[in-house]
Amino acid sequence: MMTGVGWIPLIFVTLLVIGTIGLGFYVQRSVRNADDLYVASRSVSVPMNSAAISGEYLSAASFMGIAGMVMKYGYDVLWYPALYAAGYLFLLLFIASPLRRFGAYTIPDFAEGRFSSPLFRKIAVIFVLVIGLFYTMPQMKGAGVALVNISIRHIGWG
Amino acid sequence: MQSEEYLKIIMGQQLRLSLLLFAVFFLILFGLPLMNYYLPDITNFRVWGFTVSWLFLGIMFYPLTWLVAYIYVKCSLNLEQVITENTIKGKGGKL
Repeated sequence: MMTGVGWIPLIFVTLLVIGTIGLGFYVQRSVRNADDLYVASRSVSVPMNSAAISGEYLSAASFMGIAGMVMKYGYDVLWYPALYAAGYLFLLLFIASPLRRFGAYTIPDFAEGRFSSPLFRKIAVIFVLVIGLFYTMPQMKGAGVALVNISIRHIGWG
Repeated sequence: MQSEEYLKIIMGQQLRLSLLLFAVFFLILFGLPLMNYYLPDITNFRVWGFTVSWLFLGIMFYPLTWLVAYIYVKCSLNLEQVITENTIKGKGGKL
C-alpha cells in the first residue's frame, strides 16, 4: 500500500543538495587558477583528503549495489569492493609520483605533455569518458531508486 | 645536466619499488583463490564464526592494502633521501 511521501528523508536530501550547491557558490570567489581548482593549492591535509575520498565510497554502489549482490549471490561478491580499494593502490604505485613530478593535473594532460602527441591525449580522454560513463550510470540508477522510494513510501508487503 | 640524471635515477629506483610491491600485491590477490582451491582445509577453518577465506576477503584485505601502500610511501621517501645524500657527497665541492 502506498501511503505517501516520506517527509524526513525528503527534507534531508533537499537540505544536502542545497548545502552542496551553496558551498560551491561560496568558494567560487577564492578559486583563482588551475592549481586552486584541481588540487586546492595542495593545501588540503592528508587525513582530510583521505576522508573526502572515503566519502565517495558511501554511495549507491556500496549501500545498494554491493549489499544487494551479496544478498543475491553470496559472499563471493566481496571481491568487488576489495578491488575498488586495490585500484587506489595501483594509482599510488604507478601514477601519483610521475604525475606529480611532471606537473600535470590530469592523465590526458600528462599523456600529451610526456609524449608530445595530441592524438594520445584524445585517446586518454576517450578512455576517461568511457570509464566515467560506466561508473556514473549505475550510480544514477541507484539514486533514482532511492528517490522513488522516498517519494512513495510503501508500508506493509501487501 | 645534473638534475636530469638525478631525476632518472630516482624514477628508475622508484619504478623498481613499485613493481616489487605490485608483485607482492598480485601474490596476495591470486593467493586467496589458489589457496581456496588447493588447500580448502586451511581456508575453511572457522575464526569467530567466519571462515578464514571470507575473513580475509571481507576484512583483512583492507589493512593489508594499506600496509603495502604505507611501505611504498616510506621506502620511496627514504630512497629520495638516500639518493640526495649520495649525490651531494658524490659531487664533493660541486653542487
